[in-house]
Amino acid sequence: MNLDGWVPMRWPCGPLEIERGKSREGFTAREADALQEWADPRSLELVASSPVNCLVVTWAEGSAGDEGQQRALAPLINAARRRGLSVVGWVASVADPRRAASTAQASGLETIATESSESVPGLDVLRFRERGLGDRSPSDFLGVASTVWPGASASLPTGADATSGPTGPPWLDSNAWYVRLARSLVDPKVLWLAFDPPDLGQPVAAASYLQAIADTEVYGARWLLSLDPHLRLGLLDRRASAMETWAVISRSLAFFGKHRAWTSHLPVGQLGVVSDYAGADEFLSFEVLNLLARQSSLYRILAKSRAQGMPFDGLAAVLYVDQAPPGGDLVRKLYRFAEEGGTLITPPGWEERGVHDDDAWIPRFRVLRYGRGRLAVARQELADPYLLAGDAQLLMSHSRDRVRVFNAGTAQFHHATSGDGRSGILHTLLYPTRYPRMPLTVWFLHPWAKARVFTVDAEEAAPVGRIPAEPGVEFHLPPVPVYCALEVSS
Amino acid sequence: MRVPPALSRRQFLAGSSAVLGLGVRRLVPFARAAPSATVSVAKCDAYGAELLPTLDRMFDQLGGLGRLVKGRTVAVKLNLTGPSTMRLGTRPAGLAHWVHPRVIGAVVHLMDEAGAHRIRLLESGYASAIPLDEYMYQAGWDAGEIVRAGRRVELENTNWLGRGSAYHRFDVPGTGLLFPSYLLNHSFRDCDAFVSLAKLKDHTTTGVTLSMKNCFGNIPTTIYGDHVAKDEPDELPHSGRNRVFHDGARQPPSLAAPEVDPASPRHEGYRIPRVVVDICAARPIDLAIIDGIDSMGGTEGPWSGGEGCHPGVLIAGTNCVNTDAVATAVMGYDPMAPAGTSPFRTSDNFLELAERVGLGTRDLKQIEVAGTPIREARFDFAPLIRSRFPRNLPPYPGEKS
Repeated sequence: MNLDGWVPMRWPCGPLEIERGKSREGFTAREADALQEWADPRSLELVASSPVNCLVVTWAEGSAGDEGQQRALAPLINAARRRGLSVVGWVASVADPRRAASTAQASGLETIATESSESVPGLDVLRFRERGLGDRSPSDFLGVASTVWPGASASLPTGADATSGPTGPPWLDSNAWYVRLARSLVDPKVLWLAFDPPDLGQPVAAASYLQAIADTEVYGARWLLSLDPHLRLGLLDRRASAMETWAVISRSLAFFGKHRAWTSHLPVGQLGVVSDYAGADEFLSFEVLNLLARQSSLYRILAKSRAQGMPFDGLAAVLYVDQAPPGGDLVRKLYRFAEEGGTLITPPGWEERGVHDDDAWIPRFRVLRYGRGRLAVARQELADPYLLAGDAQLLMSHSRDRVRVFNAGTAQFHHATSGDGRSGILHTLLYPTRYPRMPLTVWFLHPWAKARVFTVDAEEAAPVGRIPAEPGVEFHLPPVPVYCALEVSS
Repeated sequence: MRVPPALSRRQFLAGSSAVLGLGVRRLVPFARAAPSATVSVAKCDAYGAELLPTLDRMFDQLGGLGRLVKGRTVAVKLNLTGPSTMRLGTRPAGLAHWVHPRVIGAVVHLMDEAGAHRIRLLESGYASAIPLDEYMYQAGWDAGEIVRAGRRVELENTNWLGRGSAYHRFDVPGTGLLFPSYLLNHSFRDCDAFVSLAKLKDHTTTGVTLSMKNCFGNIPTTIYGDHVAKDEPDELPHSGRNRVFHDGARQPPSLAAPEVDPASPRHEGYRIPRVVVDICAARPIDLAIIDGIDSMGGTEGPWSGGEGCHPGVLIAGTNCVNTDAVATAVMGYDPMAPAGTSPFRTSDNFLELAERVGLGTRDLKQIEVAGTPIREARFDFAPLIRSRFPRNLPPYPGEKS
C-alpha cells in the first residue's frame, strides 16, 4: 500500500448508509436515491479528473445488513479497481474487524479502516482513534477521528464570517495544532484526519472546503475528504455551483499534492512549549497550543521527556505548562536558558531567582530579571489557556516577532524553513469576511532576498516585489481570498 | 516661555483648564462659552528633520509648552484606532489612520524638554487589553524608541482597568448630551494636563476625525463594550462600542450611569457626536495636536474604505473646538456646516454641539490662526469621499444625498 500517495475520500453509498440516513430527521427520498446512485460504478466519473485515488466506503457496522452492503458495493469496487482507485472499507468499532477484513480482502479492498483496536493478522489495518495522544507507540499510519471542521462557525453557510471585523475576532476551530502535536509526539509517516462538514441545510461553501483542506495539508496531514449531503446531491444533478465547488476541492488537493515537500520544512518557533501533553496536563497543554496558533504565535512543541536533549536554539521564551515540575536536569536547563537571555515562564512555586522587574507588567505573573534574561512565575495556578497563551506571547513580546502579516484579518499562519535555512514558506489561511479584501503586507525580520506567491487557482507562482524595511524586509501581495503560500529564499 | 504677541496671557490660560490647576473637577460652566484660543497651523512636508523644529515653533505660537507641562504629569491620548495589523492597502498605519510614531516621539521629546514630570501615552487598543507597547510592536513600531524620547514615559492601554485599582467617574457638566457621566481608566484622572494627539482625516459617522473625536477612544470597552454583562464590567475587553453608543441597542452595565434620555434617537448620527462632546466636556483637552502630514481621506480607517493623501500640515491649539474648527477648514470643509451637509452629511455637527454647550467656538472669524493661514494650508478632503465603502444605514434626519 502506498499510503503516502493516497488521496482518500469518503464515498457514502449502499444500503447501510441508507438505513443510517433514515434514522436522521429530515432525511429525504432524494438523499436515499443519491446514496443508491453513488454505489453505481458510473458515479466514479466524478473523481476521474481529480487527485482522489482512494475511496473509503462503509463496509461493516456489526449488523445483519453488513452482507447486503458488501454485496451491493461489489460492482463499484470492481470498477474502482479497474480505474486504478484503491478502496478501503470502513468498519465500525462494534463490528468484528477480523471478519470484516476477511470479506474485504475477498472483495478486492486494499484494507479496512477502523477505530477498533482488535488485532487483524495479515492485514495492515488503518487504525483510527479519538483525538488524544495517550498512545504514542510508533506507527506508520495514524488516523484521528473526532477532529473539528475548521473555520469560523458563523461563516459556514456563505463563506462570509458574520462576527469578525472592527469589533472583535471570531472563534475559530482548527486541527492545525493537533496535527503538529501528533507529528511531534508520534511522528507517523501518514496522518489522516476524519471529520465531516456540518449539515447546514445547504451546500457548504467552496471556500470552507479549501479551508478544511489547507488546515490539514499545510501541517502535513491529510483530510479524509467528506462532502456534505447537499453538495453530493448537487453533483449528481450536475448543478453548476456544485461542480464549481468540486473543482475548487480538486484544485486544492492537487495544489497541496504538488507541494508536499513544504511539509518537510521545520516550523519556525520562538516560544517553546514544554509539557507531557497527557494526563492532568492534557487539557491545558492542548488548548494552549490551539490558542497560540489562533493568535499567530510561532511556537515549538517540546515534549517534556525529550526536552532535555533538544536544542533551544532560536527560542525567545519557554513556557513550562505542567503542574508538576520537571526533573533536576531539565530544571537546570530551563533556568540556564533564562540566565543566558531567554524568558522562562512557569507555573507558581518555581524558585524566583533574580531581581523583580518593575517595568514588566503582566498582572498574572511575577517577572524577574535573571542573568541576561527573565523569569516569569505565575501568581496563581495556570488554569485558563486563553489567558496563558496571551500572557506567554506578551511575556515573550512582539518586539521579538519574526513575521508579521498585515491586513489578513482573521487568519492563521504557519512559517517553516528548509533544513539549511536558505528558504522558507509562509502559509496564510484567511477566513472569509464581509469586508473587501485588501492587499497583504508580509514582514520578515530575516531579510529574505526573493519571494513568490502561490495560490490554489494560479498555475504558476508569481514573483513578489521586495521592499527593504528597517529591520527586515516587506513583501506586498495582492488581495488573497482564502489561502496563499509565500515562498521566500536567500 | 515665548508668548506670541497676538496671544494674551489671559487668552492662553483660558484655553487650558489644567494650567489653572482645575483638573477635571472644575470645569467652565456650560452657561459660559470658553474664550477662543489661538490655533497654530504649519506646513510640514515629511516626518523628517523638519518635524521637531516645526512642532517646537507651533507650541511657541500657543504660548509655550512649558506652561502646560512643566512639573506635571501629562496624559497624551494617541489616535491608534483599529487593529494594529491593519493597513490602508500597503500604507503603514502611521501614514494613514494612525498618528505617526515620529510625531509622538517629537511631542514626547518636546514635552520632556519643557520639563514634564511624567508623560503617559494612552490609547484603548482595539478590543484588547494588550499593553500599548506590544500594540505598537504589532504594528511594526519600535515602542522603545518612543519611550526613550523622554525621561519618564509610560504607556497604558485605557481600554480596561489597566494599572488602576478602579474606574473613575467623570461627570459631564450640566446633564450631558447622551450620558451624565462616563467611567474611564485611572490615567485620565491621574494627570495634570490632557493632550489629544490626533490625525487629520474624515470620519464615516461624524464627518471628520480630529482632536475631539479622538477622545471617543478614551472609553473602555470593558464597561461600554457590546457584550459586557448587565451588572459588572468585563475583566478584559472583547468587543467594540457599537451597541451602547452607535446603535443604542443596550445600556451600559449598572455600575455606569444610564443614558440621559433612553427615548432619544438610536441613530449613530445623533448619538456619536453627542458622546464626543460629552467626553470632551467631562475630560477636557488641554492641548490638541493634529497630525496631517500623511493621512487618509474618505473615512477614519481602512475598514471603511478610504485612500491615502498628503496634506503636509500640522495643527495645534489649546481649545479643542477652536482647533478642530480650524482643522475642518484646512480639510476644505465648513465648520459651520449644518447637520445633513458635508462633511456632517450623516450626523449632527459635533462642533456645533460643542459650541452650544460652551466648549468653544467653531466660528473661524473668532479664532486667531498663527503660522500658516488656512487658505495656504488647505487640502481638500471632499473628493476622497469617493473611496468610502457604502453603508447600509437608514438616513439621518436632514441628510442630503
